[in-house]
Amino acid sequence: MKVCDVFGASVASFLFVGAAAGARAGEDTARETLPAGIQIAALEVHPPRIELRGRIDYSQILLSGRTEAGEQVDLTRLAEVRPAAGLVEVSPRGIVRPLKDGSGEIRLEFLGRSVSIPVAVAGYEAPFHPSFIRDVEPVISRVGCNAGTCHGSAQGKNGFKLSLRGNDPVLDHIALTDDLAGRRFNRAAPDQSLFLMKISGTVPHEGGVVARTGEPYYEILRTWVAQGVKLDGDVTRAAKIEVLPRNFVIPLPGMKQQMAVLATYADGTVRDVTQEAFIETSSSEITGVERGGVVTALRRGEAAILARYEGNYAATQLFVMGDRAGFAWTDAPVYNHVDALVYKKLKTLKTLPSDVATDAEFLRRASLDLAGLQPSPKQVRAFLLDGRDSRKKREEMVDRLIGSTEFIEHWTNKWADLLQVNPKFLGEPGTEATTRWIRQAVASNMPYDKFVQSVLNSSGSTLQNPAAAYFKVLRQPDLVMENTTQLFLGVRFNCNKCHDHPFERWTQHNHWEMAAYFAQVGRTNAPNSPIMPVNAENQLDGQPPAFDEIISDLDKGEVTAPYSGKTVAPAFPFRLVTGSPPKGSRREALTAWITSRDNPYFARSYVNRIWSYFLGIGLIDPVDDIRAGNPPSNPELLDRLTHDFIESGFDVRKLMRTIVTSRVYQHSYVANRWNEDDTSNFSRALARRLPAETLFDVIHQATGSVPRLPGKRFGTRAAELHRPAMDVGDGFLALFGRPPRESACECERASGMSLGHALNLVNGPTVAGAIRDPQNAIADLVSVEHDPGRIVEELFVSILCRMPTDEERKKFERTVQVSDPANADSLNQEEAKLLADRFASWEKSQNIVEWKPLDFEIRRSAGGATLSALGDGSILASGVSPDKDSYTLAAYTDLKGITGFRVEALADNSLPKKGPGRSGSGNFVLSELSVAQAPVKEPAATKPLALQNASATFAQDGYPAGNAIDGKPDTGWAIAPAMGKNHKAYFESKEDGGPDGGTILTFTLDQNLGGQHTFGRLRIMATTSKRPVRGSELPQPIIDVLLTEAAKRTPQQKADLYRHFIAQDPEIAQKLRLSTAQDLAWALINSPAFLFNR
Amino acid sequence: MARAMAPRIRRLVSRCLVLAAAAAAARTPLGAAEDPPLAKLERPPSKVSFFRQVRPIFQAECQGCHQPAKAGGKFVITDYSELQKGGKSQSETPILVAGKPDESLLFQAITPQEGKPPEMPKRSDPLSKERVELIRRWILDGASDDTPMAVKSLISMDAPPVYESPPVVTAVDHSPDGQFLAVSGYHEVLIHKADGTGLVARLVGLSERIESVSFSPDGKLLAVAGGSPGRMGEVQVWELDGKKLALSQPFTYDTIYGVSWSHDGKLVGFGCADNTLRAIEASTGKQVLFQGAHNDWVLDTVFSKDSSHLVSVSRDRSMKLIQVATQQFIDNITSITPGALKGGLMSVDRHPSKDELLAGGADGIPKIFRMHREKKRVIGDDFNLIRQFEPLPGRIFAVEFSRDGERIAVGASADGQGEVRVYQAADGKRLGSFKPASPIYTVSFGPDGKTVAAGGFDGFVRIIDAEQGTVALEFMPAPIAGGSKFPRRF
Repeated sequence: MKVCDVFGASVASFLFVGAAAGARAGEDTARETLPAGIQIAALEVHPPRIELRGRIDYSQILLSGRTEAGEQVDLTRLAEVRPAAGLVEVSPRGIVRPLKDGSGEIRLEFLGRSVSIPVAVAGYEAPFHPSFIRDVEPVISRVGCNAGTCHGSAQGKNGFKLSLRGNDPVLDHIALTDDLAGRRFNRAAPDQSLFLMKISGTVPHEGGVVARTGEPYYEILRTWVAQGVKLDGDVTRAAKIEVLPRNFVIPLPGMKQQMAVLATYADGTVRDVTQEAFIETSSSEITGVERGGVVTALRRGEAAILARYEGNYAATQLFVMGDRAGFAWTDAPVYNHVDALVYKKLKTLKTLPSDVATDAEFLRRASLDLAGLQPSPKQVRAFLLDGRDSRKKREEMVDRLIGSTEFIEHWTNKWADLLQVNPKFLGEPGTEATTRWIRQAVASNMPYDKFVQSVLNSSGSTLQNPAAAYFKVLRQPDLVMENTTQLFLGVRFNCNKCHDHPFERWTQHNHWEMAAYFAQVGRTNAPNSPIMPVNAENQLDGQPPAFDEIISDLDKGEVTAPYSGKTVAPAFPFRLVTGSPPKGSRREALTAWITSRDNPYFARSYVNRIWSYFLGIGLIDPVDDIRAGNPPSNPELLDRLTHDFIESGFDVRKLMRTIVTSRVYQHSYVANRWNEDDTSNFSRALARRLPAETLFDVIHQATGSVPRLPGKRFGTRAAELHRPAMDVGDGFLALFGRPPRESACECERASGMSLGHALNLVNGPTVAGAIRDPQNAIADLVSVEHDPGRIVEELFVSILCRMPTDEERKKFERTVQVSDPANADSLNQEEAKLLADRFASWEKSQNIVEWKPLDFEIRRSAGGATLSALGDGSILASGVSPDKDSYTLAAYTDLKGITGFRVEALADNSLPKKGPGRSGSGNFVLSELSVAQAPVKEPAATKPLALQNASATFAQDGYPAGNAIDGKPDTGWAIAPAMGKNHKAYFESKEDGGPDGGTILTFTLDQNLGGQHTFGRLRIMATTSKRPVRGSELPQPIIDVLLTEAAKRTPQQKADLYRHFIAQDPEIAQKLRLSTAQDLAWALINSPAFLFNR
Repeated sequence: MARAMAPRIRRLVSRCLVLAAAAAAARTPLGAAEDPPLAKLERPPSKVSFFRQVRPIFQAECQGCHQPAKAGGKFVITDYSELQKGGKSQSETPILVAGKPDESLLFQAITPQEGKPPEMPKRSDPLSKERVELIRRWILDGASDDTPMAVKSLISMDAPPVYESPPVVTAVDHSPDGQFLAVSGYHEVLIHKADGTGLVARLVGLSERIESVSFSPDGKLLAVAGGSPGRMGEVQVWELDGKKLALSQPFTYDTIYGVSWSHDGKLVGFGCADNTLRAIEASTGKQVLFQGAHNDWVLDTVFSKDSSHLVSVSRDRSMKLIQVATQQFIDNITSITPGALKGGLMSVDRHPSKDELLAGGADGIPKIFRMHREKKRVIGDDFNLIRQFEPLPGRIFAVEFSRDGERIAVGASADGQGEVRVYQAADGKRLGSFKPASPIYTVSFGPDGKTVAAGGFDGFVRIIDAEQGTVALEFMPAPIAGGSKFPRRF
């Protein structure tokens, strides 16, 4: 009797209890229920029949119910399951495992409906011979041994290294069986195998317990050890996998879906590998995935479900619908097939597309996307005024933009990025030459396949035939290959350089086989070409090359795979469906393969790339990471566009036109209730921050400032700067993510918007410089245009490429209103100081004389005219109009220290020619004015008050105001020819008048000329202000303000004063007009409407 | 059925480990038909069992960090007796207070304290409620160790292992008189007649895996290095007369490698998986040399001719020279230029009459070095290198000089294939070459240098003609139950 038998029973029982303690191993059997309101109309089940071959075989059931509404819901865990007794057992999650050989059926029941699956089990009793490749490796992967964080890491863990995710079974077999003389297994005592004791926790294992004795995984490994740790050389890994269900919809968050993964082997057998496969979601916000493949919907949205098993990858799209009560689809107009295919999907997703963008939005969007510039104000106005059918004029505009000079510059720049046209690699002459070559290719709309063929096949001088410069930039076979596959196939073959691709079927061997195609590219210095200067950047393989190199095909040169140390023959990672094997040099063979119509990646990746340029996100995104695990959001659309592109002969402009004239491209960025959460199905335009060069150019375009780039001709656009190292002063282009042109990855271009960007726009020199440029269009505008409304409009059209709305116009008119004191803030420090200084000195320079009305109780006309008081202190003469006259006017006043008087001659409608005189022409002549004063207490003690320093606001030639006090009765003050207007004359008293206790003032106005040259209407006021009494000529309200102590002025008074000041200072007004217009321009530039293409 | 263990074998490892290992070893013989059905869940018994319920939790959640090789918090959970002692928190809260979970640090650590989440397991989810409850109940019940006595000892001199399948042969050595061949087995060293005519003795010890065997210079003793992978290492010294285990000395927590004798038979040198190189007195086990200059596992050792120095090779790719008397590191015998060393070194031997060293490893190139530097080291030199032989495919696991120093034998493994080659030491001329369909892990020259005994993956020992490369004799050293293979002569 062997020792082992004694303990067999107790060991078995402890093992099983041990398994029970391991709660992680158990299935979550919490009961699910269907959300209320879902009525099942029919049941569907997968697979249609189950055949289990052998003890460890299993099959995942997928039971789904079809609802009345046509939705599909997972019932796998909800149904009553009745397996044929003793034949199989079915876990709560629907995994069918055999119990004995035989046949029967499994009946699944749900709410009165049922469906059956026939089941056959064979080979249950047959000895189990696990295969290392087919059975052991999947377990090692599933329990996580070869994960990148564990023994699959580049250094392995604790001296034990496995290939990452089991991509190299031979290496793993050696590691398990040969390292340290077979230390890790023990054939004599299989359970003593170190690796089994590690994974089961019998020996301390930092990776924890990942399989327990007695469990299927452990038993598979143990049996393999016991049977001699064989590597079965003829067994191959699964050839492909399939993940089910495909492209499905989960109606509501919280609901679940069981997945199944089926592996197909080279011999055609299909095996359920759901338990061993890795099933992951592309978005943990949309779905969660539990081990064993149960997907839980978390919230509305789209995600890819990715399955990985033994180097195979498969993915399917999943959509969580969410509550869409109230949704009703309405057909939107279809411009072309792009729309039809996008709307087809939107309809199934219950997502309603946005309306089309306005004409102005479209014009700006299309100009930016196609030409990298905004439309000019003139173009904007013309386009908006064009009253024809909007769709027609848009298409015309697209045709005008495609192929324009700006278009050519824009797309040349794009290709120069992708081809890394960089003086660091090519020198200045090479950069110029290559850029010129690209420009010519873009200008001639070279078919895309021809373009790529030119790049990949070119030989000769890199200066004479600049397409060949591709091989000057990229110098090592592996690097050329990685760049080429990423750029022209959208496939990242660099991942599988050091290990098999972690998310695709590409193996490390594929990498070196592909690299071998570039192993025979010759690079020799052209005769007499100077050597490039030595610096770290161009020393690509030891020695700096010449500026001009000759690219050629050699008949020797191989790559050596680092993992084997052996040379690798060139081979394609997959064969094309049709076509004979390519011939010619290695490069030619590869180019033919890459650019073939039948290469599933070539045309497709470029179509996807172009699509992303216009719609902001690829149908596959990132655009240069095409793989099974990154499926397109709209496969039908991508297929159709690809097909059309190939059929058109790789006509890039036609492809662009198709996209840009679709209604989908023309969607507004404004979301509706039913598409606000959509970011991947093109139901609305996605706002895209302008690319660095475009942003720079457009800032200058919008402000009319001509950029001055260092070392470049005046007016060179950033889009024309073909030297990534060159930047504008503040590093604007680098900050905003212009590609450094050091790789072909689209990710080189950054498009984010962060605080740093915002600060640069708000404070940085680029925007400020363009706006403040004294030569710019804003300065021109305000020099000819003073109307705030027109200034606002012009700025809107120049910067935002649209007219302001009424509301905006009204709001922003205030902003550019120069007389608004609030707008003084717009001045810069220097200007503000100037304004303050000038305001202060103006105010200080004002001589404000406060005139006090006199109430003339005595009004006597020597000639018998009637002198009546009008209540405003003025006196109107009427009635008899004598030839000459003398008025005597007397008034009582409390004023003390009277310093002068003002005589106003006032126009009045009752007078001839409105006066102010009574003569036929309206003139008058004041021959002599005299004033006498007497204290109130002694009215008789009259004393004359002598006058001096007479002046007038207006005086007739030969009749100055001084004549009225010169003592000569035949001279006087008159006002011809300014009749019909008001005039003032000022007279100072030689000594202060108005003693204490009140004064009676008596004025005598002699008007001796004759011909009725007498006053028609006049007013006399007195002042006690200091002399001179002729003050500043200001409107009375302004004088009132100025007479008010500064601290006591009301805001309104201050505003009035400011407004009056500005109005009389055109220089300051102009400065304000410019600065407020600049402020508005700054605000508009710093708005999303400008910074984003939307 | 319980059998007493060899009394002189110290118990080195925790009971539970021996137990689990042994218990698992004692499982059913191979063949899927007899495997137990797939896991079924059983209701736990009412009284909580340490052995069946608590220990698996410790294994799964705790011992990755709290193991002898690492001892996080200076606390080891792999041994029940260690639980009583506790780690660095000894002065404060005891690890385990029988009957009082709340006073036991072990329980506090896995439950929330003062609103904070459980301290343990670190960087992992807290234990499930059910598991915490199991541990609580176990402590409450007295925290007793219910490990059945029956499973504590299984294999001993009296109950030698029973083989279903052959173990890998990791070590062979010819006795000085050439009469015997010591061969590694599972839990034992098998002493065969060198001509393959019979198993003479089975030296069963505690170590499951034998890494290295070496006869003493006088042939009276056999030094054995081995242990139980991932748990313990042991050096055994057997007195061949009387098959007596004269010394069993534990070292480290993993198997011991590359045992070698000093010329006078007084010292035994060996390498360890804790990157140390050590030497002990063969008679007492007293450690006389401890050296930590290597930074990866030390896989083989050899003494200088006068035993004043000990040479070691390591997975760290280097060969180092250590002075025995001072335990000081003297020199890197291999080049230290970055990139010069390729792959770990796995085997080293010394010329029988000169201080010249033969080494081989993962780069597949056998090399002979002089032991003592004669020129000052300059950057980029590999001055000690005397000869480099042609590369073998794959990795070299074993190298040996013939007793006259004229020849060298090399054993290698490449992609499941093995190779034994014999060269002339002086000029590198290849003599015999033999390629079995089994990786070779050990070689030993016969006394006359005309044959080489080789063993490896498939468990066979083959005696190979050194010049012809033909197999003279092939036998299965392990007595396989139900019809062991008789030796085949060719």
